[in-house]
Amino acid sequence: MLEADCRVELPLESSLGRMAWTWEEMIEAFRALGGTADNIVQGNGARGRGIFPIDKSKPVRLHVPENLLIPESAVEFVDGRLKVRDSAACEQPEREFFEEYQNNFSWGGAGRSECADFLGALDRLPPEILSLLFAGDQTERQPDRDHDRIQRKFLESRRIEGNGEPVMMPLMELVNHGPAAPSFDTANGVSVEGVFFDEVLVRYSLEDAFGMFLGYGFASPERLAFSLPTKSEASQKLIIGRKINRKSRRGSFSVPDFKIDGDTIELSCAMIGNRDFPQLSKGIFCSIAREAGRTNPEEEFDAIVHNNRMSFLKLFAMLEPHEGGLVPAIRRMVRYQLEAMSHCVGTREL
Amino acid sequence: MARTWEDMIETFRALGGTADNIVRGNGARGRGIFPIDKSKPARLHVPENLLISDDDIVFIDGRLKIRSSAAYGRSEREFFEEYQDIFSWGDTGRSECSAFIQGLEELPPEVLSLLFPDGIAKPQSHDDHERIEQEFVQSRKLERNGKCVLMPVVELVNHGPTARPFATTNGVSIEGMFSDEVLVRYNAQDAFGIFLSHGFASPELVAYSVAARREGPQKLIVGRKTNDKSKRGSLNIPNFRIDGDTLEVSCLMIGNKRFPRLPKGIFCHIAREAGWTNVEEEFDAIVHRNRMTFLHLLQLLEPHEGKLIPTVRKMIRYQLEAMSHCIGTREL
Repeated sequence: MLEADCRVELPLESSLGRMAWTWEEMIEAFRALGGTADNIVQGNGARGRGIFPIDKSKPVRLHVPENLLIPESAVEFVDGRLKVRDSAACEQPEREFFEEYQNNFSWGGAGRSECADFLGALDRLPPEILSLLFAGDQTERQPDRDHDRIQRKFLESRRIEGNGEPVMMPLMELVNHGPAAPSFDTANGVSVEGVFFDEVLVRYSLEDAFGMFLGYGFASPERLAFSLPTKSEASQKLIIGRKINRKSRRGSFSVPDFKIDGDTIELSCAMIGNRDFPQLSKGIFCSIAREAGRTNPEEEFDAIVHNNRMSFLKLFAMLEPHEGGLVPAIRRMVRYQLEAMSHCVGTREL
Repeated sequence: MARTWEDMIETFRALGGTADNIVRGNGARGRGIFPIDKSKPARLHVPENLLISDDDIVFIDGRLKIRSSAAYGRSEREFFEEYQDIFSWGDTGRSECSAFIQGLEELPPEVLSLLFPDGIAKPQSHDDHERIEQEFVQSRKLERNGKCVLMPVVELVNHGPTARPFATTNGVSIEGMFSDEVLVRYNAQDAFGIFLSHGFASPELVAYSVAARREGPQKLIVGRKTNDKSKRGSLNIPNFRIDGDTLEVSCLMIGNKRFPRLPKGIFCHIAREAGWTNVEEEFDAIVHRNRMTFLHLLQLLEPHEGKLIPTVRKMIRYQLEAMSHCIGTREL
């Protein structure tokens, strides 16, 4: 940990505030505050701007210590700049580092314009497409002032859940997402470590292509697909959510939280495709459904997957007369979702 | 002078044809045939003497004619050739087929390879005129009693996936009440098959597997010869052959909007008869490979634009939609 009296040397102020930091200056300050940034450099690749190894034959290590993880609730936008609230319990060096970093490399870098572009492109989509995309979540469509929406989108797409509280992670947030990459190591701060042949990538969260698009605004070929929220009021009631987790257990498997209440099954989420384990999706559902006394769980599961496929094919149909803007990305997201969903072959006992 | 629609219909009737309560018009599918009075039945019948075998036609100087050696009456010959000149090939038939061929040529080679594996159904000639002529004949002919025929006037009726098929006893007929356009189901194909044979995207009710061949302990050969010539229980199912550890099916239904349990039911029944194990998962894997084939085709189309690409994209969607209607299974 940094000594209490240790001050980070920041560049001299210009007429617009502090002078722009260079990458090297920022990394130096980051290290001085306890962060680790070994063998990395910022660059451009297939995913746009990202983090790359300097020497691909050597391991990369990026670690944001606890003192640099700033709770989302502790930040605010003041005059278009992202700052740490005066009232927040954050040391002055960390505060200065975070604000300068945001100003130069994140929000004030391309972060604001990227979020504004995404939301602008969403606004240009036909209403019927927006209704399908955000059927279960109206937050993107709330009539906020434009700059509020952009700020909220920026925070949502950069935060990570740490110790039950969402935190902002300077530097780490510059690492792009890869669906097959390891996830963040959240023990003692947030870390990414390993040998990377090309870009340094991390799996942002356990999501499917649809969730990644809604959360981050890009199409990603995820390994898994989860059902859209569903509520069936038939004689055998079924409620499916989109809170993706693996908090329960069946046999040797982690499965999502679920609740059986009389003739009602409530699943926090339902996996409906898995590229690595294609028998698993139906296996999990059938195991839970049998426990609830369901008589034909295989067919019930088939019907859930069918309804999901038809929803995405409907979205695909709605896109047909349109081109440009977000349309190619949504089309690709739909394809990725259908591909992951297709990887549901057979079943298995848990 | 070019003949009018009324002149042509009069001659058609004089030669034994029936054209009751119909008129030519434009609708959602472009040019087509419509009832004059929607509250009354429409009837269209091409008699045997006006059905021209595709072996007996020839293109001469850009016109579609009946070979001089072919055995047709002079009146039928004159009617057919004039009809083709004014209402079919010489009207928009040639230009429509030309546009389709041009659209195909604009597709990336990897897309064409997926659409036409081994060149199945793809017009073979490299000469532009010949390809267009082949495409025209292929998209207009009807297979009947083992022979393919061209059917003047009836060929102007558009395809509808839920419409009734042609009645083929004693000529070719379409009859019924039509609340809008007069439609007929050209053949029992899926969206992929209709696109290949007729060049448009149609939301068919059924999906069949692409042709496939799998080696291994349980060998499987899947064709695309759509038929329901065999029977199991009370159901008509496609022809199939079991030879040792090999199962050969002439076609394999993998989606059915009306009977979503049927595709897996049929396959599992046949596969169990062949002594296969884990037949439900086998079927799931076949459907999965089909879905991935069409999703791969979508991926290949992503960076491209062209006249035919929206149609191919729509065809893929229709095929995936029909395929999705495969829910549960049933005993036959």
